[in-house]
Amino acid sequence: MLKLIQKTLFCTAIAVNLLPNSAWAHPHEFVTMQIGIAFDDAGKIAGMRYNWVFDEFFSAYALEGQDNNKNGKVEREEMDAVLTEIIGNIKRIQYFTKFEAEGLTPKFDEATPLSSEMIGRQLSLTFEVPFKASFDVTSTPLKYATYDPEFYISFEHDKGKKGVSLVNAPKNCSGELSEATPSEDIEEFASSLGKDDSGGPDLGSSFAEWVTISCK
Amino acid sequence: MQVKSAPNQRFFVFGLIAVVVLGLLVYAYGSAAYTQFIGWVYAGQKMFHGEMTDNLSKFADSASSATAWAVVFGSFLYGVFHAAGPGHGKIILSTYLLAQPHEVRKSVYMSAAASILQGIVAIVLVYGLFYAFGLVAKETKAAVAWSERLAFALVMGIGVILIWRAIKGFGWIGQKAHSHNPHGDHEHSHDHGHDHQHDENGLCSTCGHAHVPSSEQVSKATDIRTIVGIIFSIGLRPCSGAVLVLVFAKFAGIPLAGVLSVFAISIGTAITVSTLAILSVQARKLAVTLLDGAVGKAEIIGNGIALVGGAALILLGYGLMQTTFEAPIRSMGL
Repeated sequence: MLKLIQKTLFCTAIAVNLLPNSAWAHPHEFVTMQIGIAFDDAGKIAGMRYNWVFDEFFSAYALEGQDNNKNGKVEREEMDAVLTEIIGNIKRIQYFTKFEAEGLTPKFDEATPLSSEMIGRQLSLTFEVPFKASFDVTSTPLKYATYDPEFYISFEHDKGKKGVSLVNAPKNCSGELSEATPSEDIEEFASSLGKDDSGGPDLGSSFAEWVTISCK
Repeated sequence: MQVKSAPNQRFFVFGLIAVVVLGLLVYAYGSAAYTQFIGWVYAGQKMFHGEMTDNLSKFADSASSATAWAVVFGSFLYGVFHAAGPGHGKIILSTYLLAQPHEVRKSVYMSAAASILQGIVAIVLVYGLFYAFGLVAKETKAAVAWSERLAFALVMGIGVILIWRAIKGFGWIGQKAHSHNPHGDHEHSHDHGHDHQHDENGLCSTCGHAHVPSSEQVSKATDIRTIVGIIFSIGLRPCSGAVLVLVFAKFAGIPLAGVLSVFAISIGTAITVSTLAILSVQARKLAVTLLDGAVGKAEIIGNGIALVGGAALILLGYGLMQTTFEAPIRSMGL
């Protein structure tokens, strides 16, 4: 009996060791987001407004050393500097946003910083990214998700308030937020392993919350 | 010569179990069970992270023994959970422990030393560089990367050592006599003191078995170097969680609570890693017991593990090394 237990433990130890590293999703940074979809007067999507609230640890990391006037307080200009730096850094990865559409997908233009504030110990940043050309969703819906393929950062929509909101949208338009469904993505995930641009497995996509915007 | 069938049968059964487990693993990897599993890990990670930010924030708001204990306990649990995954450290340690007979005590010491060192490295990289040079975490990314590169170079080095030993053990090169050494594969390590007297025959008067200082002491010295190499290959890579805890604690004006938290994480990590280390040592003992009467086989299996494990470590170290030169968008590029 003891040997059986030993044997089982041994096999478990081996099994745990053989599991690919991706089995151990390790997000270290957490973002709670509210995304606004801005429509133009022609009823097309003009761009997206992102509000990201970072976890306490990342907020401290981002603001550490920003206190240029050494007064020990976090001030608006200091937070704004972080915001400007972040949107400059993540431009090349499309602000962590992937589109899925038949045919054309929208192209991002330059982002504009909007506001920054502290909510308790959490940094909250808001910025806006217009599309290069307004995107028509009357015939085909727009599907997008904001996530980190490496899954170092976890992005989740705000569940309490409205995670996705439509701004200036025609009445027939609606946004639908679908829960992350890792189990349904498994085949896609397994086949995408190691093929991601960053070299890492595209684990983040399994946890991505997809949003569908349509006007019927 | 009569061939014993029992050990062979046991060996066969053991191999069969391993194949079945591997098969299940491969199946699980492509199935929903696997995703449920990563979902579970993610939920755990998120929960423990939330606990840590809460506990440290509460301590920063009002420092008391109650809030301090909450920090320590939460960090400890984070360490236990966080270390449960197959980090490179556990792969190195279990390969080393499976390849040759070792004492349980030694494996626990190694696990504990590696975990504590990991905490100390995090403290040095975050607090040390800040208080000595005024560098904030955003400015120490290069230092962290070099610490990691050193760790991964050691991973590859240990792989080379294991392969070298396996090659010698198989008698492919070097002294053939080694594969038939009179110690066989008995399960105790020779870490008794070497301050004993030797007579003319090379026999040790205090311990009563044939003793060949030239080879054994050399291999022991090599082993100590390997052990230190393993501890550093694990410890030099600071855990991101610990680094973030320290940054937060310093920012919130409670730097000592950060140190407390990181040591609690290390102790939690040590417990999980020790468990795996003990399993590896026991697993080897079990395998040898199952193969009783077939001493040569146990040695062959040990060398086989060293050979395959060594190659795996070189690949792992190489892969990890490459990631330190890539520039993924972590921490929003800050």
